[in-house]
Amino acid sequence: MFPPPELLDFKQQVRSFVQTQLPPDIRDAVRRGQQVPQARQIAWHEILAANGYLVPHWPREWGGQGWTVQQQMSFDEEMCTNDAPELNSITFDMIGPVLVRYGSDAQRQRFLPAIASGRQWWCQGYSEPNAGSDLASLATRAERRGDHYVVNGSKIWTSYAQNADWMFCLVRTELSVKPQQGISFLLLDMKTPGITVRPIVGIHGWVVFNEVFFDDVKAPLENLVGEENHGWTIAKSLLEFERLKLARIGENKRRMARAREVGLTRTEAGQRLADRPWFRQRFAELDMRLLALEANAGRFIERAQAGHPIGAEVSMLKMRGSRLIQLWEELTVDALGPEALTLDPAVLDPASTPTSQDSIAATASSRRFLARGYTIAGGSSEIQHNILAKQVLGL
Amino acid sequence: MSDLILDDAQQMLADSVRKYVERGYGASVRRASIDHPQGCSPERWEEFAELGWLALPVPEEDGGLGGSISDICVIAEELGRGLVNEPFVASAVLGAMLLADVASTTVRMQWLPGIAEGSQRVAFAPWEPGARFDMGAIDTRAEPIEKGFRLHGEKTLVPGGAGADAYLLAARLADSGLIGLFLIPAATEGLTVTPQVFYDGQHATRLRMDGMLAVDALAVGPAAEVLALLEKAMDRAIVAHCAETVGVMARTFDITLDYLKTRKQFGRAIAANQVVQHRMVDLYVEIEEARALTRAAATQLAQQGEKDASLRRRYSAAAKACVSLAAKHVWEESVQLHGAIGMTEEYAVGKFIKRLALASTLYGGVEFQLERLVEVSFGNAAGCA
Repeated sequence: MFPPPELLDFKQQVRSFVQTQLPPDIRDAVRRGQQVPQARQIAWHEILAANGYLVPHWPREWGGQGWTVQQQMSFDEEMCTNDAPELNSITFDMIGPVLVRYGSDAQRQRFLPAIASGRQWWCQGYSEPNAGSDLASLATRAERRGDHYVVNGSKIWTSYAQNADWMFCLVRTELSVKPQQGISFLLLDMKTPGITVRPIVGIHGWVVFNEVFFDDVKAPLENLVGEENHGWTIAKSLLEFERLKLARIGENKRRMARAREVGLTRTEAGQRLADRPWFRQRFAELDMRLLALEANAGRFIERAQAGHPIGAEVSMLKMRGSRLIQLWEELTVDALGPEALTLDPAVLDPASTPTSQDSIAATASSRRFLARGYTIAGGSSEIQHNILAKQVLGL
Repeated sequence: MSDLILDDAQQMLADSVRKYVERGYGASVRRASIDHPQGCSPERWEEFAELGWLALPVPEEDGGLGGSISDICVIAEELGRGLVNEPFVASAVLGAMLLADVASTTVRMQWLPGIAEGSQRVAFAPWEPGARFDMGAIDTRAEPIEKGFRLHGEKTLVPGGAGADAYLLAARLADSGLIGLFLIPAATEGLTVTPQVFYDGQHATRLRMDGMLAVDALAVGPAAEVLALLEKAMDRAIVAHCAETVGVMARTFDITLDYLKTRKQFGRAIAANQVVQHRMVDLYVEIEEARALTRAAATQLAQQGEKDASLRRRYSAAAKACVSLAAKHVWEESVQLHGAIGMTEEYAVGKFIKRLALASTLYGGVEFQLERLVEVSFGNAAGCA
């Protein structure tokens, strides 16, 4: 429970790194809840990469640090609570580790150094208009023709496809078998002719999602990861550490700090909100839930540290951690009251001229609407319930 | 989920308590304890002592084993799982540990070895009528006289009070603003002990002091100092009570899950319905979080409880709020998912449900604990010092 001195030293080292090295414009944008422009995000990646902090969780031979799970979790938390931007988990936590485990030597040599440099961006082509939580019913086709596949179909809810250099996607390569068995894992260069990206503006005012259309898109056979028709196994695999990260403890702490600031700076009936019974009860309940989440995650970290598999129970961390973020955002907008009733997409741009609102208020509603997606993306809470019911409770 | 947080010694302790409860604490044994006028079978208490459980909270130098609160929680959780009626948390943890915190050498020698051996029991009377769980609301008065004090006042619902050999209670010293903490033998003249039975069968008492003579105080000091002592003892008991309640919840959950898998309606097990499955998952997750936070709180108290009062308060309040919320949810849902059978006294789940309903409130329920928790973040609300 109490971190050993080595871990405290480690955290201190990470903290002083991020406090001194994170460019102030990026820090301020994150603090205000604004979108960090891609070029600035890449600049931060390069600083992290130069210090060995961009892909610390990868194997050493590909630039990893060989840290313990506890160190990795602490690293993430320090980054988060010191206003570093969230890293694109699709790139660093998903495709990177997938290629380490399932990629060919040639694929690893080709992509891993590029990703680890911080300059290559990936997006994930999983969901389709008729395949959301029921991913196995996906219909995008890839047909083998000579030395390449021809891909037709479309993907949707593809986060940050508009910025991505590459996409890893699930495509149907065999129609005559059970849905899960005819799926392959394919890499697509986003510059390939026939790919069209249509951005979708979210209720939060940001372009996170996109629709991506494939019209006779050619992908060389060498872009297939693993064996043909075995993509489902790859898609379902996530490293233990990545599953632990879905508890989003650092992200929750960041939001708690914002709610606290609102409680200390706003008043009602001549009292600080921090003295109003309704605010105190709601704040305390979320504080309690966060302590519970952290304690619960702590048990999984111990499991992982001891070299045991963390098990299907870990689904509860994703379920609770994502919901808790929504509750913090909701408390913040409720506490701001009229101040949080506007949502001008322009304030999300760090280059925008400051309005009369302070930064927390200006972006509060946007953040709240953005967070609404956390219980949907990456396996909805209902899917997590199904996993727990089946695999843990034996129902 | 299987737990790696328990070390080997704790796992052995948990296994041995569970084995005892499974073999030796069935429905008829529980019934006998509930029916006993003291809510505690002397034979069971003796067995607890022989197994060393009663010595665990007592310091080594006083004839005990000096166990950590984490070890105590391991026992409490298993006793909860078995719905043991004897007042382990109230008496062996809360009462005994408070006494060990404050007693002089003479008093320690007189009481603590007996407590560890199971031949004596003490109970702490924390609350007065009409003030909920506020230990600071002390109207009981102690008038100094030539040889000691005369006490006047009332204490309500003393957990583990039935059959206690002595009571720990606080009183305001007339005109001085000081608070005294007293140890009063049950047979003291001027002390009226009225039995009370909680609705789940556990026993308590009310105390009334009419000019009762107390020769000596265990501690006398400014209100804030004495209340800090009481709070420290209460925080430990709260965490042990959380562990006990987690055990009760876990068993209630198992009974309910088993029922849902067995009971058929519309031609299939009730558990085959997704709406039921998801509700069970919610309970499962709440219980697991409650267990995790209770363990974390025990560790924090064991390691930092002496030196860091606000950290101790933060963790005990959060754990209790979490457990209380979960307990409410678990008992209500367990009745609902059982259907009418869950409403009966005779079916096994009924007794567990009542214990959970009680536990969600005892020692301060959700709102009370959340306010304690938020005081650590924001201080006392303005105007409510």
